[in-house]
Amino acid sequence: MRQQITDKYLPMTETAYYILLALRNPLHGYGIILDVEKMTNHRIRIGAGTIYGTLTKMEADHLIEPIREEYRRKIYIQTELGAELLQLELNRLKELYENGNGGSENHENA
Amino acid sequence: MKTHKWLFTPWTSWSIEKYEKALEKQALSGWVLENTALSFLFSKFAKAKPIHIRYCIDYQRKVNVDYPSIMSDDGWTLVDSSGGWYLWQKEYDKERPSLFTDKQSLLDRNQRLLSVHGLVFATQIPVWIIFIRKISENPSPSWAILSSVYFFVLLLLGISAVSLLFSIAAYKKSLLKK
Repeated sequence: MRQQITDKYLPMTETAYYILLALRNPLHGYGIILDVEKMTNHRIRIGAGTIYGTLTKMEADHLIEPIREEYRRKIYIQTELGAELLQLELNRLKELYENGNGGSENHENA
Repeated sequence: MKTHKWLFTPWTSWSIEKYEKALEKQALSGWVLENTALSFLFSKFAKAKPIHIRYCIDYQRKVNVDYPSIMSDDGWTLVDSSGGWYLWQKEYDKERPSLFTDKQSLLDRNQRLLSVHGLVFATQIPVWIIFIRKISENPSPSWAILSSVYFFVLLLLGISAVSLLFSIAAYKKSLLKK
C-alpha cells in the first residue's frame, strides 16, 4: 500500500472508519448515515456535509468506488485498497484493545 | 403589523459561525429567513412563530450529483447559493444538527475557503501590474482615484486572507488543546 494513503488515513477518525466499514455493502450517502447510526446505537450521526466530503475524498483516493447511480444518488462500495486499509486499522485497534484489556494481567504474571 | 423585514447582514468567511447563529436567533424570535440578496449581504425575514432552525454554510467549488441528494435526504433545504457558497437550513427540536460532524471535515471546508482566497488574491496580481504601468505612463488624476480605490480593495482582500489564515490556525490550536 502506498505510504501516502496510510499517512493520510491512519489512525482513522471514527467517521472515516465507520464510513469505510459500512461500505462493505453497497450503499448511498444517506444509507451510510443510517447504517452507522444503527451500528453505534445512535451514538454517531454523521452530518450530510461530512459524508459528502469524506465520500468525495475516499473516491479520489480509490478507497471506495461508485458502482451505479440510482435516483441521482451514487451507490458506493469499498475497493480492495479500501478493505486493505480497513484491515490495517483493525489490526491497530486490536492491538490497542488487547494491550488495554489483558496487558496489565500479563504484567502481573511476569 | 409588519410581516417582512430586511436586514443588512454582512459576513465574512471567518465569521461564518456568527452569521449562522444570528440567523438562528432571528428564527427563535419569530423571524424566519426567507431569502437573501447580493450574495447574502441582505437577508429577508418573514414573521412566523418562533422555531429552532439550524443554518449551515458550506463552500464547494464544484459538486457532483450526490451533493443535493445527500443534503435533502438528511433533511436540509437550500435557502440560497451564490458563487459556490451554499446556505442550508434544517428545523430541529432537541439535538442541534450540524452539516459537519467531525473536526476533519470542518477543517476541510475552511481549507477550501482559504484556497479560494488565495486564488482571488492571485488573480489580482496581473491587474495590479497593469495598473502600476498605466499610472507610470499616464499619471492623470482619474487614474490616481481609480488606483487608490483599487488599492483599498486589494488591502481588504489581503486582510481577509490573513484573517482567515489566523482563524484556521486558532481553530487548529483549539482542537489540539481538547
